[in-house]
Amino acid sequence: MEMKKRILVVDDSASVRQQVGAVLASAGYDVVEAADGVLGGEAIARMPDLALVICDVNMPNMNGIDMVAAAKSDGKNAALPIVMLTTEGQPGLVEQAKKAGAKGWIVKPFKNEMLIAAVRKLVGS
Amino acid sequence: MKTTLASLFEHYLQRCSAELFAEYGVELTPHDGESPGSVSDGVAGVIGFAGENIKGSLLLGTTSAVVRSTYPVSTANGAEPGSSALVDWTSELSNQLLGRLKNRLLLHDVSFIMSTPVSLAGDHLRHPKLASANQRSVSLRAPTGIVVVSIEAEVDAGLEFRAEPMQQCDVGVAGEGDVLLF
Repeated sequence: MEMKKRILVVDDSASVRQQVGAVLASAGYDVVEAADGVLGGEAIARMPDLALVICDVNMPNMNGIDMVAAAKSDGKNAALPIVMLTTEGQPGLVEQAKKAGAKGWIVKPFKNEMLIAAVRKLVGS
Repeated sequence: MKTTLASLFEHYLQRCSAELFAEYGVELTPHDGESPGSVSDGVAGVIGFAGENIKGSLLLGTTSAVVRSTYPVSTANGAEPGSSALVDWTSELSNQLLGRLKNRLLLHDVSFIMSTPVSLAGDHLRHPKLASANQRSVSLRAPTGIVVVSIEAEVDAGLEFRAEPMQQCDVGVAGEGDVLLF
């Protein structure tokens, strides 16, 4: 049996983690969660089989863009796609995330089908 | 009539609140009646912001019933979300509301950094009276209760803003629901 692709969802809101997780699970992905950038970074280091990370920007302890930069400073994560999921639409922040190594930016609230389409484009079904 | 920052706040608070709740299937309409003095089973989310010439906070106050009606996650066996889930979701609603407001104000050249939200729940929550010139509050009616949203800002004299908004595409602000892949 083919293993489900595993996606890490990093957001300080448990409701958002559950919302995103439910959408991704319904599309056939295995979902794991972390509640801030520090825990997200630890999860990335602990789980080398991650296919994708979906990450909020404004979070306590470590924000999402800093988490991306930290993860990408480790060459082992060079190919790991990270997509930001945030309320922010400010072009400067989008650019910062892109420079840090993010592969995408989604503005909340998201449409389920758009989220799934973006995920499939980055990691396949 | 001269456009003031306070009038922009009022305009966008009303519009952004209605747009956000509509995303979660709840229609908000203007509520011209008296705001409830105190709310039983109330919830409130607060989120701060700060920029070069501006700092302040946004408060979203309503009832658990209203927040429950916007809750986006189906619970096991159709059970109602618990109180901690509703408090968490109130934080997220205030976060998404300030984000939406920020994206509109960017078109007026007003920019700030958002903090992370906090929220609380309790009986007899009372909305504070307006206290400063740059505080604005709107009251809206949802099918299951009243929503009060207020914003208070301290603004330096040096803050300049555009009375008329620039085009979103000219500024490059990503809109709600947008998906950008690099």
